[in-house]
Amino acid sequence: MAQSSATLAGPADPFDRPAVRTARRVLLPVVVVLAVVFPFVFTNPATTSIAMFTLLYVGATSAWNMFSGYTGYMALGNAVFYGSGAYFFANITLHLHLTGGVGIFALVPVAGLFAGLVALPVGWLALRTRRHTFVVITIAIFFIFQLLAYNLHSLTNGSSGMALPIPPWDAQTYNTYFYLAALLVAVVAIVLSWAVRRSSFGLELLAIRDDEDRALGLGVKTTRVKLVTFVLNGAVTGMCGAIYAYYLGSIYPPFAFEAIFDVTVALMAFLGGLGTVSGPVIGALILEPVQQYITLRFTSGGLALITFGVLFLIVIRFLPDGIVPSLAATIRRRWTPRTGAAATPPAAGPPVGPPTVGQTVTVSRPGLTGGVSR
Amino acid sequence: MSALLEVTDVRRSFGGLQALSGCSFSVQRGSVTGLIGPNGSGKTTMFNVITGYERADAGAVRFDGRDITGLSADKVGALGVGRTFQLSRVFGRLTLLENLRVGRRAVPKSRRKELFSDERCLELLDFVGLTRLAQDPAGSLSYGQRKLVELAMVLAQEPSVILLDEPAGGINPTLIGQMADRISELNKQGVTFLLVEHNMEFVMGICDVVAVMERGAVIAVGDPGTVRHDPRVLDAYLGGSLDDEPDPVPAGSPAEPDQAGESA
Repeated sequence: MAQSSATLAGPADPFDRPAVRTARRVLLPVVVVLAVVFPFVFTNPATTSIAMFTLLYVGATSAWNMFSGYTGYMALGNAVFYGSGAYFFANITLHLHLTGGVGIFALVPVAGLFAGLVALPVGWLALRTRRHTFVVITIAIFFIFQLLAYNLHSLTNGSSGMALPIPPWDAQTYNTYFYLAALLVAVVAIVLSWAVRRSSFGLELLAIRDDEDRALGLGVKTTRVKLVTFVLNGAVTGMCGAIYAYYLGSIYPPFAFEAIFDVTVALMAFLGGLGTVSGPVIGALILEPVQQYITLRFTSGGLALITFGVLFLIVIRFLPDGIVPSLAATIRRRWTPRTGAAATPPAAGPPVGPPTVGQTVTVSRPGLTGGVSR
Repeated sequence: MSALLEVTDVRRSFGGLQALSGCSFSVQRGSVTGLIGPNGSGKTTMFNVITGYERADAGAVRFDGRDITGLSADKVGALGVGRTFQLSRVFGRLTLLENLRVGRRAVPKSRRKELFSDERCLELLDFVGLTRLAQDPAGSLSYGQRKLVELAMVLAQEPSVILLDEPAGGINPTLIGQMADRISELNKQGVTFLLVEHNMEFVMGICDVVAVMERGAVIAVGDPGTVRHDPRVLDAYLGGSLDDEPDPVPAGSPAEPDQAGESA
């Protein structure tokens, strides 16, 4: 890829310069190391708890964005998979009589697999529709699942909830383990989202977002591509749900299947930048600590919701594209002029320039005047 | 020459409207076939039926000897039938290069590297004169430029037949000339074309065969010179008579015997 853009005649991507590439190569490992070291430096359980939740949302938002951000299908029912992962984890630990500890983190991917399995029929059904109808269908399916969680006593123990195994750790160790587990899932989500974004498969998703029927005509198997991504999204979200349930130690329908979750992941992605890899990460890194802090400080969830609402309005007003795309556009504008006149503004209508094309061309059978009007 | 695309007695109605009423024609391998006719005569519906965007109520579509009636649009596309749309459709937020690469996974694995190499994608953009804008989002292009990008997008997959829905519609004369050159040149390389177009100069200039549609059926087929003097065609365009029966064919202009659909 890198070599090809060098040979391009047009203005190259301003971000594709050596300094930026080096910065990326250095910065990324530094960030990962810092993230791993974090709970050993900031040992206060109050801090690590906020950090843990933030990472869960980084994972869940990246997963949501991988489907909704790339394809443009706004799913507002991701709590279905969050809750499914949570209840699967509660059930499997209960029925296998497992005790708390590091070992049962190994069941988190299994919970993800289960949530992915749930996403298969849900996606198959919902993806028969498009646009607004799709949004409404996902919300409806979410409420069906919430209702089931209250009423399927044999699986969920209804509104009395289910208890999960409690690991025998002190608060600090407890949070550190959960932090690292959440970090792992977040990294998996980001890497997956990145890999999809730069693959031909991901390009098909973006094409579906821009014009699904056009993509169809190019032979893109739109139904299959959408469903596969929807299932991936469900699986990753389910893993986040499993860790969430394990962390809480007990799980109830309103926590597992929470409507606010549906909206929150969407909001975080919007804030950071829909359809980008880093946008959802940044959105979650900003919003979740704010939400956690307000909830802890004022012990009222309502205030956090109001703050979210206000923030959302501000974002829509001033950064309609989200933080990452807006920043990128600004930097691009600053950097591009170095190529001078070559950096043309998008052509708004003028014809293509003189035939600079290599081939010599002649119209084979030149102008016969209107064949029909006598 | 053999028929690459064969449409036999295709019917399609929307409620009470008979959009296609037994439409038959064929596209010979290696030809540039024009499909003309007044507005509402069913040309775009015919395109949609061939490419799987619309199902046929009755009749058959054969491509390269294979029955493709009722196949979904993605399958028809993957078989090697490329098409563009009347209102050109590109992926607005993707760059031109990305637009070209969307169809990558629809071609057989063994050909992907070759067809979608950077060199070939740039060549295709060069072919339509848009290399300069390779890294720009397609949404920033003018209408005519989008038509050219759409052509390049379809070309990337090397389809054996390309259906163009009004390739010259709404674009300026310079671009029309460029479009005509491109089509003729590709045709010389062996690509078959079926195109719908209202610009008669364009149609008469590049088509080998012209089929005329009226009220959902092909009423005349022939080389451009013959068709433009066919009284039934003039009738269809100018609305000479109100009765359904077209005037009898004058002795001087024989209709092609192998291409059916004479009855309106």
